[in-house]
Amino acid sequence: MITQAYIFSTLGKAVFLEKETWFVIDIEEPNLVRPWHNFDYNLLSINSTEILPINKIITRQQIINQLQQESIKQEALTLALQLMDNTIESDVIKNKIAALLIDYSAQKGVVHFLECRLISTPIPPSFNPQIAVTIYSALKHSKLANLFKLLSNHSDEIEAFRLSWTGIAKNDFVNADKANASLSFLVNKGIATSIIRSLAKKDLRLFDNALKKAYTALRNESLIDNNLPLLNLRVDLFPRFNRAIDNMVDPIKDVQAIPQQSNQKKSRRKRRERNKPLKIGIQRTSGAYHLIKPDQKLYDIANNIIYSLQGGQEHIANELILNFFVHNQLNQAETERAFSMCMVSMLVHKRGFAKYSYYILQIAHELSPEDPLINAQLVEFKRARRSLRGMTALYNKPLVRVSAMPRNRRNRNRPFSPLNMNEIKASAADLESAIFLNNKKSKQNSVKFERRRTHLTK
Amino acid sequence: MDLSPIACPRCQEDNLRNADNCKRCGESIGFVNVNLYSDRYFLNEIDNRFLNVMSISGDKRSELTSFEELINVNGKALINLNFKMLCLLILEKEDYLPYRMAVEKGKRVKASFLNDKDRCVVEASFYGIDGGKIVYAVLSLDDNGLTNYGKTTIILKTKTIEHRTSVFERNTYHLFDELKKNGWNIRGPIPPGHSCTWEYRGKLAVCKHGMEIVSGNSAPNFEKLLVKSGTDRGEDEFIELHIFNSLNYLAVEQITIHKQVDSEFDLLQMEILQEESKKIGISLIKK
Repeated sequence: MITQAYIFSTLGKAVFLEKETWFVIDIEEPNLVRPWHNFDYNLLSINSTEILPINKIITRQQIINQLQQESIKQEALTLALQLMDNTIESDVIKNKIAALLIDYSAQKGVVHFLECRLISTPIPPSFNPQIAVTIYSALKHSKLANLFKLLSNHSDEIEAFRLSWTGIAKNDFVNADKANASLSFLVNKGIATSIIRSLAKKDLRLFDNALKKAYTALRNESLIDNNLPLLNLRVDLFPRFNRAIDNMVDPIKDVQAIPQQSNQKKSRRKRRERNKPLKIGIQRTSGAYHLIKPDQKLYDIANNIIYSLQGGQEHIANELILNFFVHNQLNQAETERAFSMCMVSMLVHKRGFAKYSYYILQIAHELSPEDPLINAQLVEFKRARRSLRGMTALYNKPLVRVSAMPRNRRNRNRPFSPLNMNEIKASAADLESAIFLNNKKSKQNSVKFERRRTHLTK
Repeated sequence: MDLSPIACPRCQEDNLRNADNCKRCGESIGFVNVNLYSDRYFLNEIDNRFLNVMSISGDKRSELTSFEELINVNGKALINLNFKMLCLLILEKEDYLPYRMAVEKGKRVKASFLNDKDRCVVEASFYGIDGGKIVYAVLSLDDNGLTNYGKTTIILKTKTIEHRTSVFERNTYHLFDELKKNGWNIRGPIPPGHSCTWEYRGKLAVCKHGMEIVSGNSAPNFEKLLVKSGTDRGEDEFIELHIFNSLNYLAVEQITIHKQVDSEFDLLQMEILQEESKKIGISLIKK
């Protein structure tokens, strides 16, 4: 029975453990299996020998099949690199390489493998992807042409990612082996490519999703114990999204006149309502707020941020905030996420750190731009600060949604509070969570929501 | 048995033979393997063995002399590789370096799946801590080498390796077992007469094969005498060269391909290899 096996894909060899003896298979003579010899260590004399572990119990034939598949991928990668290599000058050879790579690319998983490897590793100066783009454009092979175009266009982002990773590998990993293994894992899973693509698109949401994937994957593989490496990766690469932490809008300084339309909306509301402190919770029919009891963890997070701000350690606060988003939030369901983000923002605001409260809301908005609770909280924040510049669209958003919702008959003219989570959830047609929340309030209201759902499903 | 100290070329301070740098002025003392086996303790015994073998007269003595000369003039260091490794070395300009050194320098992850205890014990018993810095090659008069290790051979430029090479009578794995069987205490230096420096390679070859040449009836085939490639690696018989530190394509003088490649990919790589070797001044021979 084979209990362990390793593929040396670059060398076309595989080794496996069977009945306590190690054996070697060569791809050129797959049926000629021989025992591992001490001198076979020479196979490891070339650094780029890749070793792929297979931990499942498999048969010899499965090892041979996998060896063949992996060798094809490595050969395709070699061809892709040689195609870009300026030192290979012969046109005849270049054309042969291009033609052979087309054959390889038809095999399952080869193009994905090439994308993972190429769009994650900086290319040396003697390599020119444009050569490959020209050849494949002329051959009208769009798949490979696009691949090399992507490589050509993303070289800056690849460099930035690798540079950032080098720093992280030094500081945030237990040892170099783990750092290298983590990077290889991210590259092979295509997560590094996703990060680079999000950098190129300047899409923070994609970037955060990729980081979330990276965190989950690395943690599952026991390659990291905490999210510090990814947190620092985010801090390093965040300025590439043109949203540098230091340059963020300061709502206190950024006082602007409230736009006319918003003024009108506001004027309908009572002064008492306007001056209400920021609250998160469910408004009872009586008008009183029933605050949802947040997890103690949220208080701890907020307190840690506050303590570091009070101690003048803004960089720690920034780290904690990012930590909060990458670690705590991305793993939560959308509904819980919005609530806890707003909660921490509110707690930080209450202690007088408006700038940071706003910053948390900003990131929350970037992560969930459509979430009505976050939108409403952001608007409320701006309103409290008399700074609604650029907020009109957001301000109108929840109102439009709520206006489509049947009002409570007994309280028809009750002023709208965008912080009423039930209403907002209902307006976003997220009736399940609205009912869940509503069950906490009263049976009567629950029936109301049930009726509405029945009506909507009809 | 303690080895004699080695004098620093700069300040003449005595240093241990396994020192890399002078303990006083920090000057490099040279390659540890060469320093160790250039001690008279080892070389005197080679001289004695050589004189014993050469004590005969007549045609056989002249055959021995020409064998020694042939080795000193034409003896080359060879390494056999498989074709894919050769491509990595020449086309991708990868370093060929000892596995342990690669692990220690963080260039490669430790191959935890294999029991490397044997290798470490053998290397350490010959060189101590520097045992992991050795690249193995074979002394040969032709370009065949040991085909059990791969169907391609690289011949190394003598100038790039002679100053950092120590020579052993046979494969050190087998020599280790043999010496241990004969009562060698591995905590001390190896018994003399089995190892030397590059300059003594001819003498060592005569010591090893002298009796075969003397007792043979027909004219000996020196090439086949020096390297015998068996049916598997255990049966190979050769003089082993230990080259300190890594190698790269710049140390390669000639490539010999013993078996024609057949896959489309390998044929293409062969074409690229031919072009590249021409560019960097390596002769390529296909057999």
